[in-house]
Amino acid sequence: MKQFKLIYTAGVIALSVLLTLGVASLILTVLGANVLDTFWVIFCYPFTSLKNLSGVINIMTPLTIVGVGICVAYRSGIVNIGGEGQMVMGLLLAIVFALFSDVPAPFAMPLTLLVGMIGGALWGALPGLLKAKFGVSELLSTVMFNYIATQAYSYCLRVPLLDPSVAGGSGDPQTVKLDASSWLLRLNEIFPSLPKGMRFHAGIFIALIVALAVFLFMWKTPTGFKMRAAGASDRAARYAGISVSRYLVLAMVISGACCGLAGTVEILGVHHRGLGNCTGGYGFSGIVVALFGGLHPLGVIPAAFFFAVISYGCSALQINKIPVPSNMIDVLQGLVILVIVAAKLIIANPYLMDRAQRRFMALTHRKEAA
Amino acid sequence: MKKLAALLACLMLLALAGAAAAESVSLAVIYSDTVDDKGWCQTMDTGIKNAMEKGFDIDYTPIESVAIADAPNTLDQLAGNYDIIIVHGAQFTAACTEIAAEYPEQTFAIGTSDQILGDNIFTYMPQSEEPGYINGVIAALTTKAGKVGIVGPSDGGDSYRYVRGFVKGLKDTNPDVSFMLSWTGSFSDTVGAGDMGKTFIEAGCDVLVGPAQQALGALRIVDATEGVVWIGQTTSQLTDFPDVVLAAADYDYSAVVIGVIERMAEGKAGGECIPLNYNNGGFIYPFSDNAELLPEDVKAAAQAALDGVTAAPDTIDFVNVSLE
Repeated sequence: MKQFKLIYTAGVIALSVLLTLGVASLILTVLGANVLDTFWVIFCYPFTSLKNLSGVINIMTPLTIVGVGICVAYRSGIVNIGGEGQMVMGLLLAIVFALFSDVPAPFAMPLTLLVGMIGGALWGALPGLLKAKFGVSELLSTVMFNYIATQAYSYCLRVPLLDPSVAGGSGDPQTVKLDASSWLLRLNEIFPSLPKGMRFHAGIFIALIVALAVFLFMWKTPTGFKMRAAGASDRAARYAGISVSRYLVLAMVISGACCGLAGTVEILGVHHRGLGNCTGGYGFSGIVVALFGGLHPLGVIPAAFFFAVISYGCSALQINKIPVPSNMIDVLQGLVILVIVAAKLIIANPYLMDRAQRRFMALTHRKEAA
Repeated sequence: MKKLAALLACLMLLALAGAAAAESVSLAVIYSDTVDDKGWCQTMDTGIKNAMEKGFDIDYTPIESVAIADAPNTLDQLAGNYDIIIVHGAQFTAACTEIAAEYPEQTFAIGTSDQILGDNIFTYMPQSEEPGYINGVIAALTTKAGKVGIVGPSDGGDSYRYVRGFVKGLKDTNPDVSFMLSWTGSFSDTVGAGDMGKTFIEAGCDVLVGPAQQALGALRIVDATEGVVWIGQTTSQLTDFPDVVLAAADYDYSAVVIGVIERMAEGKAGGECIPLNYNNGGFIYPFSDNAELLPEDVKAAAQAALDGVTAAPDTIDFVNVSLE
């Protein structure tokens, strides 16, 4: 059985790789691009310098935090598609706090992060409450809350928080720069002896701590166990005396807090001010990362890293003068991710493996009999 | 002897000019969309190709469809590898100014902005109130319904100037004409612009305008509707939709590209704003040849407005225009 599982897994991976290479090669050949060069840039270029690797880590950071948040919700039986809106509301509240509070330097950054978490948590709690109290589908409410959050943020950028220097039409709506005391420092600034060119900031450590903390909470505490029990089977959980609706809301609060934190980390670590569309769609990509990470907080870490490598590699194609149109770069990225996620789901599906094993056994027995 | 000396001097000048133009310049441009978007990005791409046709040897690398969140990483990868990096979109200003501070030897150019953002940053600002004003004159003289629709992208950058210039041209020509204005909130939301255009037409507008590449969505709706016309902002709109586009103000960004190259040859690395206007060849304004679409009297009035702004650049008071 173990031997077959190994063969089955290796076979699925090999087939997935071949399928990806085959389809992508076909597309690239039609476009007139060099297939090997393209794959080298996507998968190897991100590792060719510290500058590139730090760019990968900067993409990985918000993806990890959002992915962890999505895991909490999924594991507790609620699908959170509102990560994008929770990111936006978290960073909006954090920006307001950073701009208008007068907190001294050592406390400014952690308090801003905390406020960002609260913003995301509150925005996440609303669809959780709607689901728990009135049975409103979270698929509907979280998506709608995304729109509300995005438009509210857009309004704030254009009216109450608008940087006066762009008010006369010189530039795009944005807030003024946040005070440096609230920024997440870069590794170079924390450790000046490190080589130059490392742009990644302390947010990666926050991401790793969040993943570990959520894992410990969900797998090593009674509350986490009850949340996972409610997610695995709400009827059984109710029968065992667990208040499913309470843990449902709690899951959305934690999930929203993670997403709000991700948005705040992105602002404090990369942009240092409020900008339109600064979430980069991580609220949505985080869902795929969570699924790819097996809906496990620790599994999300390598999944986010892998996604960040592909994202960075694809964005570097034009810089490396690989003649692939920008729209097709997205197609390639989507293709690679789709095949990998599909392969992972196939490997994890015991029914499919069982069927494959039966056929394999039947085939080998027939051959032996012959 | 004098003639010979003059001839030699002319030949030397030509050789010097040729040498200046022939020196190869590596240029990377960050775009928010593709270079065939029939709008904002395409005009810069065309401007660079125009500069090449004028004899400037440019090794050009376009980086298309860059998201705001990816801009710092992209700029970081480009910095130090090109003579000039143009960041074509006001939404990238914050990322560019941060990266520019880390690469003081690298020359950047950011548009649109009229601010001085750093010693190694040129800014460029299309004075779009000028084409907006001329379009406003045409709209006021063309509308039969007395109602005009403005499909706005985002109230920032040169759209801010364009819309106010348009309203000023409209009201200066005929104060009784009313206008409807709304913003899609995005420079590339063609679907939103299409919906907005449809709403304006249903509300009785018979002349529509709109800046940025998003406007293409509304233009498609105008093209499919009887009795409604469009005043455009890129030349390709005039050629692609000849039955509905009366005229099309267009940019010629070669003025910016050449301006940056020339200033760098003089030893400047930034710290200056390069304006784009009719006076310095930064805008062109082709009219429709269809006399039924654009009557001669309207064309003459528009030409008079065009001559006026060409002779006196930077004189349209767009800041005090009310959009209420």
